[in-house]
Amino acid sequence: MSTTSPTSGQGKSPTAKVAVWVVLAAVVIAAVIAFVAARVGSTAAAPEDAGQVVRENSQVLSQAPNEQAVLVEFLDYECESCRAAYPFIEELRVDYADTVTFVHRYFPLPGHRNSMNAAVAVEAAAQQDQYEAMYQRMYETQAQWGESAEDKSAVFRGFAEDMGLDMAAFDAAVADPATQERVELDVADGEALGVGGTPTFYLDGEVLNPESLEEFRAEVEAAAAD
Amino acid sequence: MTDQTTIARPQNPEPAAETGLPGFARRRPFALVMLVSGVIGWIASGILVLERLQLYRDPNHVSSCDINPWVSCGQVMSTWQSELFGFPNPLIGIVAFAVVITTAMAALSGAQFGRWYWVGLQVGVIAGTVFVIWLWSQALFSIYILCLYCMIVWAAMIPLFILLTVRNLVHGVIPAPARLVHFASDWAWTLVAIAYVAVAASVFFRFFTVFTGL
Repeated sequence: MSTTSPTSGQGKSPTAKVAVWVVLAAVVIAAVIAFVAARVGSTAAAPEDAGQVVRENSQVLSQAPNEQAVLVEFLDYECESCRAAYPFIEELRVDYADTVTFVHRYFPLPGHRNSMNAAVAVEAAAQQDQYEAMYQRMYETQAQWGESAEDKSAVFRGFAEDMGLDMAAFDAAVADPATQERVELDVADGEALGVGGTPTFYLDGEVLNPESLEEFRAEVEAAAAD
Repeated sequence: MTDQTTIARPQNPEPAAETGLPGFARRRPFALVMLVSGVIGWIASGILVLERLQLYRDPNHVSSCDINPWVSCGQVMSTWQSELFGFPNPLIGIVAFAVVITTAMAALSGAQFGRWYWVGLQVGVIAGTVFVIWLWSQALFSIYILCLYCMIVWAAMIPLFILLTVRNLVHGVIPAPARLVHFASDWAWTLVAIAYVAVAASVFFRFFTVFTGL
């Protein structure tokens, strides 16, 4: 019994097994090739000087006339903690309007279906000088479109329409790959800086990671005072 | 005389009954399977515990596997899934893999376990596998962040689960029809390879855009 069954098995199984191993090896090789091909195809994405906290083209939310400090935020419009921080940052922006410049960097996380769509829509609005209105709109409506598995680009287009933007220009900007590349430039900087999530704040080029809102305000206060 | 027999026994530990078994299901080779997977799983769990403790002390601690926003133990540790039972998951790992290592060492020293012991180990490893599958699904589809050491634990659980199950089928610990037992013992390593490729493929497809920077 025990001697016949292995021999009868040997007649059939090895070929089937070899076939399975060949398929597995083929899958692995295909994956490696796809990976390398995609990698080579996207080498242009990350600039050589990636890792800058602020760039010339970064979104300056508000420029302080007597600038003493610069607060940079890497944000994702679909991220709930960014949404939670939003009213507080707006409060700081009012209180330190004179001394602190507020800068936004796009950092859409791939875990959210619409992070990139939202960032592209905001960038498209920014090209019509409506950055502030659009980003505020994103956070105020996040609960309605966030955490969705569907493409919400149409919703964002609706925001642009409501705001009375030039829709031909808006649509062209959304469709233009350069708009997404502009967002990805910010992402590349964030990744090179080691931004691990959103929101990540930089105060005068140093990462700011306070334990509480009071501490956050105190740090900004100190930076604004010197 | 008695001295000679006791010395001779451990030098030839394979009983005649083991010759018909697939290689890994024999006592010593299987003990090595348990030892290797147990040690790998235990070390990965241990590092996760240490990193978790560092993170308690200093919330800004950058763990040794925080590579970017998508490969980061620190980010994963801040999720509720990382503390399903109210304490960090890797604590389960350092306890449970220690049992696997102990079993492996006892087996290497010549211990023979009763059927109920193997049943118990099987139940424990199934529970661990179910937990790891859940963690895998959460990491890929809910958290969307990879944790390197967690993946090492997945990698240790795959052969441990498959080979232990097949070993128990072969030894009759789990009753099953002869055809199934024969198929399982014949295909055990292939099943391990399929599981590895399937898990790697799931990560590959889910994170393809991240890895390639597209």
